[in-house]
Amino acid sequence: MILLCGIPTESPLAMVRKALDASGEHYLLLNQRQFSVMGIMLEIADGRSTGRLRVNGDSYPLEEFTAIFTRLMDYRFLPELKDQPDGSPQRQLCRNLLDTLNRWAEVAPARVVNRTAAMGSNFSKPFQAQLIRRFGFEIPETLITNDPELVKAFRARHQRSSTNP
Amino acid sequence: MWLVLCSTQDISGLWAFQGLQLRGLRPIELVTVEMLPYSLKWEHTMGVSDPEFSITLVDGRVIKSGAVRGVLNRLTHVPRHHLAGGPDYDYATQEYTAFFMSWLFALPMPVINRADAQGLCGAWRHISEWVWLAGRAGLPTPLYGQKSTDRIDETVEIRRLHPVGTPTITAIVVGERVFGPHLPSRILAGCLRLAQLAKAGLLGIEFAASASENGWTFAGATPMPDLRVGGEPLLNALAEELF
Repeated sequence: MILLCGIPTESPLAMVRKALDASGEHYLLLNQRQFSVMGIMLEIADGRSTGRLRVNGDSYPLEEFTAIFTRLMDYRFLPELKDQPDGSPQRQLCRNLLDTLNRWAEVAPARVVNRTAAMGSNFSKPFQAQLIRRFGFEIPETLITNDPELVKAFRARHQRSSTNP
Repeated sequence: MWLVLCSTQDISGLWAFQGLQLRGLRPIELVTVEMLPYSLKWEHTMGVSDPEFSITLVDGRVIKSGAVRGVLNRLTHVPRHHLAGGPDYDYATQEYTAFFMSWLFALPMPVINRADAQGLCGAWRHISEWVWLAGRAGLPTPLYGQKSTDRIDETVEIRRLHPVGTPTITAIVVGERVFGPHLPSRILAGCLRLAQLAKAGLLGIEFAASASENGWTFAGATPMPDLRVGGEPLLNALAEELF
């Protein structure tokens, strides 16, 4: 079974869901906004993860999920938590639910799109560019500096360039 | 030149710097995280050519990536205090962190440990991931459990495999060697395998002094162990790895 995690109306998740419906694949949609009817229990022993995911009273062994498509957003910005004070039980539940889901996704033997670790390079474009280059792709000529003269020389060399202050 | 990157508070890193210098790695430069924000000039390039960088430090030293022969990298965080109070603090911090990840990753090998998307001196993994990897490496591990109903707030408290105060023993992997306490062969092999799985040239592995599995139960791992645990033999191995 495939697990979809996120907000159902979010475009990429909606598109994947539509494609799965069209192909008749069996999937479970975990609507992040309905976190209050969910629960998860994760155990790791001898390098293997097991556990159960509960949604609306139904319970699923984690081992049954062969793929996970995760588009979870930062729980702090969920509309359902807008009026909840810091440290409220609802916030705590939501945070721990998503954290446990993420922990499981990191170690699950399933195909996961994408694991948090794999997305870490998104936080540094020049770091990511180096990874991309290693796989044989061309990357734009890039300069990072605090020297204005080097910037001027770079722009003179490259007629089409963009600057990120 | 060789480089040691660490904090002025990192006694272990400073100890390693002295030890590597004594072992003939010269010239060897100590660059601390505290001095980096005051660097006079940064230049980091990439494109058709290999990634390169040049840093002109406030004391006049110039660190060029092309001249670096090996690096002991123990940078755990990006200095941010000089950005505090600015209107764009959050943005500036993100960009500064992105820059550090990149130039550290551009350091020519050997680098112990290389910057990773999960940490500036190697991956800082969650304990759930470490215990999973340790199990796959064949090390005896305790059962790890986590639930959505747990009361723990990991923004202020870390999860542990053993109760606070449990005595631990640290072994350190450097390349293909393990330093620290005398280890049973199965544990030794597990340590090496864990470092391989973690893609860490240097890895500290903690064991709890418990009764199970001949007293060796995995308790945690870090890319930033106290190197002094391994003593002079560890310094010899580090020097060999970096030379």
